[in-house]
Amino acid sequence: MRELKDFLEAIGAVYVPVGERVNLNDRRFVVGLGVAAHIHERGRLVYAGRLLGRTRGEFIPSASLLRELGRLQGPNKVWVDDRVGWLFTCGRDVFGESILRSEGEFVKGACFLVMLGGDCLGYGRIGKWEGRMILRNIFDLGDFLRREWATRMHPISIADERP
Amino acid sequence: MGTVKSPPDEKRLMGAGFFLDRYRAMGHELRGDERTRRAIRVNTLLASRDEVVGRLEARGARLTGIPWLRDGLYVEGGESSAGASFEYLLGLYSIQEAAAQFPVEVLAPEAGEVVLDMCAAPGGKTTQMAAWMGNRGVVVAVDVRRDRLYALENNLERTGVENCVAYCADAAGLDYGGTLFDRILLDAPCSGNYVTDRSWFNKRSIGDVEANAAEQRRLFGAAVGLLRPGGTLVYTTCSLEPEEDELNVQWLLENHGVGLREVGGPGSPALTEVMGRSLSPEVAMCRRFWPDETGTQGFFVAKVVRI
Repeated sequence: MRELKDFLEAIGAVYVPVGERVNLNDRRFVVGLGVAAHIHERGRLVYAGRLLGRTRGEFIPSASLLRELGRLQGPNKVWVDDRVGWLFTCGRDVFGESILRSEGEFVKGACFLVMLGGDCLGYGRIGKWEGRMILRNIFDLGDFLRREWATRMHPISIADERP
Repeated sequence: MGTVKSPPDEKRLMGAGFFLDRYRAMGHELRGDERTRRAIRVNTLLASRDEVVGRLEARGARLTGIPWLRDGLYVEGGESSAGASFEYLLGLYSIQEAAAQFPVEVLAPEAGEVVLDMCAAPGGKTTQMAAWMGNRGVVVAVDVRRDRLYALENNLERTGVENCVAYCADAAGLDYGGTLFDRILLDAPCSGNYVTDRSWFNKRSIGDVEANAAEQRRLFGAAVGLLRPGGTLVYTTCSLEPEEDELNVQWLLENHGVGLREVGGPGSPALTEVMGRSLSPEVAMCRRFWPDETGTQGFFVAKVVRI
């Protein structure tokens, strides 16, 4: 999976997902053998095993992959406090001066996990804004709330999606 | 869930007065404005109960264990709403009404089993089953409504569930490859209840209740056919209407080779004298949650074993 490999390189992680690969539209899953044995009607399948992420031009990791990468030694990481962490989960970027500590080199194009203690809140890419170093938000866990609100406020028409 | 057009005289068979009179005839003086307490469920796949309590109390919330639930907590106060905290986004807990946590406790799925969740969206009970199973074994989650499955997918991702396959389909008609399940949860589409929906009395009629009961029987019968002999099926609704609860269980006993098992726990034994009918004494092994007794929404739980 080329997109996943590119993402792992950008984040400085060595990681090989274990399990059978399943693709559903733009989503990439891995499933254990026991779970794979219960996939019968692929046309009606909407989720299987563990979501690795989505490919939207570039690979966007799932919360479960970020959770696992956050526990590993090796990936690029920055640590922030509660206030900056909450702003990040609201979709904001992180300014360099808000970073409490880091692991990994701040080079152009590198990606960093954003950590609050031992928890990974998302990740971003190093950039510059008005001469200041900035970590541009690519994905954060607030996405769960934004997805919930989006489906509540703009209910998706189900007429064409019923099996 | 189907809806039916009400015949003209059905307007008399709806509204707060009509339904509260029915509940009174079943022995319960309800006000019609009972509400629930906010409850959460610790996601034991990612955190212990102590960890969640410690982290939320540090943010100013007050938590109280729900005595009849393994992982349930009542929550009050705190610096942010329960649905907008780091801990929620990290999947350490889910927001789930107390009565809605009970069916999976009754089903008690175990690691390594193959379990079916027949009307799974939005996935609160699906993720609860995966937690009980420690992500080992398989949960097959099915729902016919694609719009509600997006919430299920989000919940699976957020809570770290890895042993689930989910389908958009009618659970009674899906190809399961000949699998007979160890346990099945049928959280049937139902009329709901007024405790969680303030406009409930104004939009539900007895015609809706009867239409839902027919759909529930179709799914109930199909569920028995998907259960291995000796396997356990938990049937549950959040309806207080006997047509969707005791009368469906009686129908199942009369038409399928099944027995009932004691549900126990909070609430009251199910009714065996209802609407002029005497039901099998076995039906009393099911459990009814009356809002005035349990402080929860209305709920019904039956535990069925295939003979």
